[in-house]
Amino acid sequence: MSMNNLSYNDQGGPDSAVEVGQETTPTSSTTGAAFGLFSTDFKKNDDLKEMLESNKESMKLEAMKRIVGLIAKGKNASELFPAVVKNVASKNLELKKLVYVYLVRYAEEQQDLALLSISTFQRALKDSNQLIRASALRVLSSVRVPIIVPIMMLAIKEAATDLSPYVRKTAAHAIQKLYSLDPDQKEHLIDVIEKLLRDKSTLVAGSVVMAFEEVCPDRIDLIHKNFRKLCNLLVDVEEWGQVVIINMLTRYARTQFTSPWKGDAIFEGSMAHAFYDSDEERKAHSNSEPYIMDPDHRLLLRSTKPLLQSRNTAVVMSVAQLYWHLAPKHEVSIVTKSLVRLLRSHREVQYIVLQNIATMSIQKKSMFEPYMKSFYVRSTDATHIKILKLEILTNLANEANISTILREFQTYVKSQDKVFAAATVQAIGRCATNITEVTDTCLNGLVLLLSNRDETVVAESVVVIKKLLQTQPTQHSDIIKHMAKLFDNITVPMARASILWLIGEYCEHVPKIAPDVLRKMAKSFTTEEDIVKLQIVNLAAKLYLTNSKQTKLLTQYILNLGKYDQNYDIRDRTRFIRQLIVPNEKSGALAKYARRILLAPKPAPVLESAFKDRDRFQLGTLSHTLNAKAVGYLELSDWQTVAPDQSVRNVEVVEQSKEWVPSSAKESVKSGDKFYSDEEGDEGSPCNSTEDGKSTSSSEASTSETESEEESSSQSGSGSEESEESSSHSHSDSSKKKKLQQKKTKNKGSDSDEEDDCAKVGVSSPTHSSEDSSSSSSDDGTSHSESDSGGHQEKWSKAKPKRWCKKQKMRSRCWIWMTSPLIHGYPQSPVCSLQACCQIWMGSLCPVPLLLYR
Amino acid sequence: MIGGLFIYNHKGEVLISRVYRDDIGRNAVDAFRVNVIHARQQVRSPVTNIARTSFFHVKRANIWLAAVTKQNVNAAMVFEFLYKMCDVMTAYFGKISEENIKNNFVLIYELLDEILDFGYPQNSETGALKTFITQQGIKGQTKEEQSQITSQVTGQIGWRREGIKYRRNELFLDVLESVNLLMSPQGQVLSAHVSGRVVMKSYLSGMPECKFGMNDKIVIDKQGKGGTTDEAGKSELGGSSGKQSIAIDDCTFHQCVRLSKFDSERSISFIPPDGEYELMRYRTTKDIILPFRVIPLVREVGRTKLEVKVVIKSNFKPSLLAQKIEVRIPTPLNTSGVQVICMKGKAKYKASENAIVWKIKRMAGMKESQISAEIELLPTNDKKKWARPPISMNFEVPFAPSGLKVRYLKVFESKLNYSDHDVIKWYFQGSGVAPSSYPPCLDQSIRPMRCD
Repeated sequence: MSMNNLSYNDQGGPDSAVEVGQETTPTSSTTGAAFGLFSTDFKKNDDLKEMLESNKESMKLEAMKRIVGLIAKGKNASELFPAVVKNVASKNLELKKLVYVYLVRYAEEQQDLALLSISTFQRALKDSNQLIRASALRVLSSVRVPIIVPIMMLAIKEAATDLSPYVRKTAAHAIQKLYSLDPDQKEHLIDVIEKLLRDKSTLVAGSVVMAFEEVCPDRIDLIHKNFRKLCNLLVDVEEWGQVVIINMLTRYARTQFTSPWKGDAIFEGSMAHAFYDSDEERKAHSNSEPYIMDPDHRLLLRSTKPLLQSRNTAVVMSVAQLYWHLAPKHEVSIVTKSLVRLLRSHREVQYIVLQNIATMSIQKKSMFEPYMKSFYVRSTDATHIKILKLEILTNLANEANISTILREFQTYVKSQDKVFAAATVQAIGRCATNITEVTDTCLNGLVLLLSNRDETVVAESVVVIKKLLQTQPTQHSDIIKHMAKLFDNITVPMARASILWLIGEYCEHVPKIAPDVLRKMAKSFTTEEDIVKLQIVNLAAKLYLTNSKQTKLLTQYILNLGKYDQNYDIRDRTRFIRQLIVPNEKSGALAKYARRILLAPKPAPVLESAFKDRDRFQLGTLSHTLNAKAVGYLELSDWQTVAPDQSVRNVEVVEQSKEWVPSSAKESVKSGDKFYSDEEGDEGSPCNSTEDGKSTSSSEASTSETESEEESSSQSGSGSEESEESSSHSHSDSSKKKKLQQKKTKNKGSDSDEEDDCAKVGVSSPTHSSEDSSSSSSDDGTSHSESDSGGHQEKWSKAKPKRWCKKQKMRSRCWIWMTSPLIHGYPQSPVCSLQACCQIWMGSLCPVPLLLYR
Repeated sequence: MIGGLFIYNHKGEVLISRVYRDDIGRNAVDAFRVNVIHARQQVRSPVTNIARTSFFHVKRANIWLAAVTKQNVNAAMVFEFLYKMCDVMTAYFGKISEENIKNNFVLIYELLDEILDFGYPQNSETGALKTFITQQGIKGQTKEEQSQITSQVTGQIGWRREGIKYRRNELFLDVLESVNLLMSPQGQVLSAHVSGRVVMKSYLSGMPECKFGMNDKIVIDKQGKGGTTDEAGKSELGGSSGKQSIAIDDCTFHQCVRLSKFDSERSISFIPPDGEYELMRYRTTKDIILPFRVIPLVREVGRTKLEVKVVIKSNFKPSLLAQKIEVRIPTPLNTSGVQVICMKGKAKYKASENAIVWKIKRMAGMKESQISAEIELLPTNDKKKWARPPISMNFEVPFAPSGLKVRYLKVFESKLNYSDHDVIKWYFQGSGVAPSSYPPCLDQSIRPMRCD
């Protein structure tokens, strides 16, 4: 028996699954009962070392397989590190791969030994097989040893220019790994990202955008020149990459284009106003001139549309969110069909999709109305799916379809699933408040439900009826009487509390019944639940004020019972009420206002969707699902008020001619950046830029692109090796001047815009001569707009919505309500001071102010 | 992005744990077990947030797969990935079970290494993966073979490798449809739709380019306008339902289909993967032919007895025959005995499946048939009423409920120079109905339509 097995016998047993937690500690060789099957492996583990050192490949392979098996199970195999590392140079691909798996797992713990393997990787990076180069880079970047950061950096830089797209793709992945190991490398990594973003291979595009999102999501300026290329490549990128790219482009588009939703008129639903009225400026702008969509904006929408047919639900979902956030309102409905289709997908996907639909359906009912039937609940759905469907149906309800929906709801109420039945009752309540035509029908229906056999349904109905009555109390004394009659049969505390509150609140409408109910409650006071007791005290107080002749003794009796109650909440409340209503010499000024405090008219609760404020998150993200900001959530900015200069994306046309030699291209990009920052102060006239930009349609741009490519090839054919050279060959000395200028701006950050401008024109003029006018106009756009883009840029950052803070405030208030013991019925809430303040509130408020938040 | 991936058995013991990112602590494994698998109340939501760490879980049989992240990920993507992962595992070792997972630790670990890089999903096409992750290990491969793998892994067409050769070029095409019906307890049809799948099996040499045409309304209308209606194709394959074209609500395609081409010309062209794959899925909601109606009557006689009567009516032309009809009537869990009487076919109570299975060999159109059963129940103190799951039905009928027809399937191969005339093609068409809400539903049938 090995040491391992001994220790297993000593400690083994119940905590078998904890091993993973222990796996880092060397002593964690316990095998649990779960792996009893494999405990035989352990007997042989001593021979692993010998096997690894043997000469036979097959033996080594066998050993490595067993070792990886151990790792997968979460057991410790770190003592074999030296023996394993030796095999890293093996010629056998399979063996090599397993050694890599091992290295990635343990290198961090045994850094010194891991260094032994590095040279092998460096050699492998030069291998002729692209697969080997890629996997070497992959492992090298996964080995988390800080000392080798420079080596990694070098390897990534080299791989980024590799001939094989697969290796370049791996380089893109390595960027993120290096960044997480050493964030100080950010600047260098951004350079590599910039280089890779220009790559034309579909294989690379997805991965480099992932890296971009992780390392420098705020460097939107890197995307400009690649925007059109990404749009065009999108269909052919592999599916996971598509998801990431679409997501990034959504953010990009929001910062670059003006809103296609002219004014709020097209927007329907009550949410519309709350959502956008914060930025007055934009509205004014959009109203003043007719909206013309940026051709690039159109390109983005056009190139993502085919992806709605994708088999990958994540892709469909991200296209849907892109349309939701970017498309003109009348086009958004294109995605509806695809979303409805996703409802046939797996349960979990359904859950996500339904959540998103719920959010959308609040703002834009018409999108989903024709598909209402797809949201009918099926008996085989899981409860959380049913509740989401219910939510959507409620959102979709309007005057026209309400009767169909209510008929559907009738069936749902009979469901075996109690939670769902209760949610249905809530939904009926919401329909009743939203659509005035059916309020009475619903109310009658709910009253009928009061005689339902199922207790939870009855209780929920009572609660909902209470809310409905609050909206129109006068004419419903019948219902209150009916509920008072039912009172004895209802046992659910929340429902009882609701009835008591109703009777107390409207005691003037039911003058005869109210004192009688109080009498009954006085009898059963001691056996009631806490929330019911609180409402009994409330009822007593209210009756005492309105009808003290009949109820004076009863009230005193109840207050006495409350005074000695076990629950401090109730004792507190009793003491407070006594001081408030019973006049004595000690009672202060408040007593005078007792009536006004307790019987003040209360605002009716607003029944609204739980998804109402979800739209502050980008759809489809985890944050939206959780309804809370997840780490790394990037806010979608609001639309631009003034179209940022669109010709930044054109620059590619000029740039492309130099693309063959990356170094110079990089330089010119850099200089472009400088322009922004330098010229923030003086802003060109915005109308100028928009006019210029619009004149270039995307199709023109694409033709000019190809032309420039041709040109570039002819240039490179002319024999010049460096593009700096080539540009100076083909262009006149004005371009040289420009280069000088660029250097100047880089070094000193000088603001010589005039000179810059003419230099720019100088660059573009030679192109004029060789190309037709369409490309020249785009070049003009470049030079003009680049000078004023700086001003806009600043605006983007300021455009952060204020709405967020408002929402935050709202939430915190709800939070107080929720923590109040009254609502949740937790008698032992530790927050005493909070309780006190809540109670004053609650004394006059209804017992369940915010059921929706449960 | 995904920070880690765990696989648990039903007891909550960890079978596989793979952590990709530092922000996921080793205790995340336990957090999920305690808060979800062992939670006192059943956790309903597939997304759970525990201490700012989010767990996305999927349950297959007794196995829990959980992806963990702290970042803001695309929620749909994580689930899509988990299901892909399930598919890949199924393709490698069959059913996902504790036993199978334990026997394939190494394989799964390798797979995880390949399909998730630093938490980002990668190419997870089983066909491509199988070429370089094998259970036996890559043995005796020649240099050429290795370079082939390389080109497939790294190339643009991830789903097909070069140099496939068959002596006989064959192509199988199955159209499988399922009718989904939602009925109210009163027997009213609330909604119905057909979801269909076109499944292909291709055994073709080289890099063929295929084109598939069906009687899609948009295409037919377009051609009609142009005056070049494909009359020949239609008369050749014309079925009994007499519909000229169907309106497809919505469809999705296998990765191999050129989406941009479909978008512009609505033609379905593709380079097929080798072997079996699902070319497309579609959905229609208009003009659905419901081949059968099922009318169930359930009466509870006291607490220990249940009487069930089910009538099925065939709803198509009397000259047509439906075959291999199988009706599955679920019974309560506490059933102790069943007596069945049926006028046609054979019926049996299958205790292991908790259902009465009624089989009829063939049935003509516009006929009806019924079965009645007395179910004896064991008294239980379980107050929960029986939820009455849907009745399901399988059958083969000689038409597609959606009306879909295959118009053509063309094959071009430029290098090896064979075309569709040299390919043996097999078409099948079938239909079925899948579970709906309160009551009954569905079926599956396969009927050879044409072989040439």
